[in-house]
Amino acid sequence: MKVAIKSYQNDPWLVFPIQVSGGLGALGIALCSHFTMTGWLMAAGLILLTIGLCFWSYHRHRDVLQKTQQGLVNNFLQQNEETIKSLQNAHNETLERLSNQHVETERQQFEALIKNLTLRFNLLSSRLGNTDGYLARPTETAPLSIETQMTNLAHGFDALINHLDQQPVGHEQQGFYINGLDSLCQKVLPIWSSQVEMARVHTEESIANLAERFDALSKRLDAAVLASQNTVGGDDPAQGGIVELLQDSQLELGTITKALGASLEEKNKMLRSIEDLSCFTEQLSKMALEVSNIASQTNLLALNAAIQAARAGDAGRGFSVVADEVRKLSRSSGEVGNKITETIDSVNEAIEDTLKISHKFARQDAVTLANAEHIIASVLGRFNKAASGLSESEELLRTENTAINYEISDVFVALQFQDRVSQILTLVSDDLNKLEQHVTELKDEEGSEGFPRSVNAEQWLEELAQTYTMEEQLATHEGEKTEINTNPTNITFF
Amino acid sequence: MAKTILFVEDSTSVRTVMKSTLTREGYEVIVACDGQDALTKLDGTKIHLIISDVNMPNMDGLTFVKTAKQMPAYKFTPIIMLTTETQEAKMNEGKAAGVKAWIVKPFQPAQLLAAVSQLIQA
Repeated sequence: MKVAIKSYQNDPWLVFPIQVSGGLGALGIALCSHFTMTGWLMAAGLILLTIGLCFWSYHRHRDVLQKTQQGLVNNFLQQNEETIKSLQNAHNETLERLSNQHVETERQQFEALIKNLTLRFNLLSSRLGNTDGYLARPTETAPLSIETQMTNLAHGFDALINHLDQQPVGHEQQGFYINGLDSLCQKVLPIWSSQVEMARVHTEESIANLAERFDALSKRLDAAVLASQNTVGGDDPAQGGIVELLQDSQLELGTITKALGASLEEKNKMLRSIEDLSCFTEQLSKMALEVSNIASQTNLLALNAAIQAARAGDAGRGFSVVADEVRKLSRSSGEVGNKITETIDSVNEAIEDTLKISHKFARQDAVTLANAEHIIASVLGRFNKAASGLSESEELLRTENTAINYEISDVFVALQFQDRVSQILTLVSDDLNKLEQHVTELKDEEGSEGFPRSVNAEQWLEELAQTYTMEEQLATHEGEKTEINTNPTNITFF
Repeated sequence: MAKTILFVEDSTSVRTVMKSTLTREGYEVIVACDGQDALTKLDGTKIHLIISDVNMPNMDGLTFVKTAKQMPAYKFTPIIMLTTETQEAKMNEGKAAGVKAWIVKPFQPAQLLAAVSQLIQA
């Protein structure tokens, strides 16, 4: 690769062509003075010569610089390669040294781990009763290599796995893990079971009590609504309600006021009849007056007859007796007429008094009747208003009763959780009792046969899962977080 | 004449409330606290409908139903199971035993009354 060559002011090759052209120019001037040549021609020749020299000088200068540069670059490259090689050698040596140290450290740790693992394996193997699983321990005289120890460990694990395979699947010898756990189970499981059972019974009794109270509440509410219905609406035909009572009362009171009105009218008719009677008394008075007049005239006629009889002498003596008798009769008639007039006057006074009193009573009766009608209308109005209020209250009570019955129904749905909780707790309690019984049996067998027995946890869990009745129990058993379904479900008809 | 219902339920609260609810609807209700107790009630008395829980102490509901169905007097008595049991196998077992309806708790009393009315009239 060619590298651009830079020229410097102090480079001698730059001034060389000028010096040469200058010298040649001087030579040309000297030659021109001896030969017949024009100055322009000479100048042209000199210019061409100068250009050619400059071109030659430039290329010459560049070649020399490139050669010099190449030589320097080669020197530097060689030096670099040597330096890098030496550094690489040093680095490799360092890495090898560090690597060896690390491997040694790792090896020591690995040996320690294998030793620790071997000890733990032997301990585990001894606890599991696998005597075949014991591993050889390294000695001071014949230390075992790591490969050998690893191989031994692998064989040991194989032996242990074979030993475990010979045991029933899923069994765990828990007696080896926690001392006293079986005794604790025997003592604590019945307590847990009793506590759970106590909580279940307590909940059941409380909820039953609550359900009874809600039931009594519902019954009393129904009874109150029924009583209100009967009172207001008169659903009972034998007794009738307040509305019906009001209607009957209104009719009956109307009948009474009508009867009173009719009675008043009859009384007025009677008064008019009495008034008519007074007209008759006037006629009677006139008739009595006529009787008096007739008696007076008869008396006058008898007097004349007596006079005429006296004039007739003895012949008229008998007629004179008759005339006396007629005069007596006319006097009596006049007295009777006077008496009749007096009597009629008395009767008229009595009738007038009666009429006055009767009119007074009639006016009072009319006022009383009007007041009675007003009071009855007012009382009935108030009763109607009260009955209307009662009807509204009864309607409100009925609506509220329906709403409360719905609420009680919902409460009853919610109370059914007790049945579900009771079943869950019963299952837990039963399982606790079963575990306690199982632990007791295992302990008895251990004591008699001298070796521990195991519990098949998987089988236990499967049996427990089979006792569930609700999906939520199964989901919880499988570790899922579930929410209890509180919504009423549909009915399945077969 | 009022129809007679045998209500078999171990939960006191459910038994109390449902007896009251059914009585209020005009039914005559005989209650039993488990299957064994219920069998003693089947003494020839005319029963129009049986409502029974499934999971109960002493004798479970399905065993009681199977036993009752073997009695000539109650062979055709309709039965409703009222339970927390949701397993398909149990429902099929009930169906095979002659159960007419399966109600899973919690239930609305109105739902049960509707089913009772439907099965008693049928």
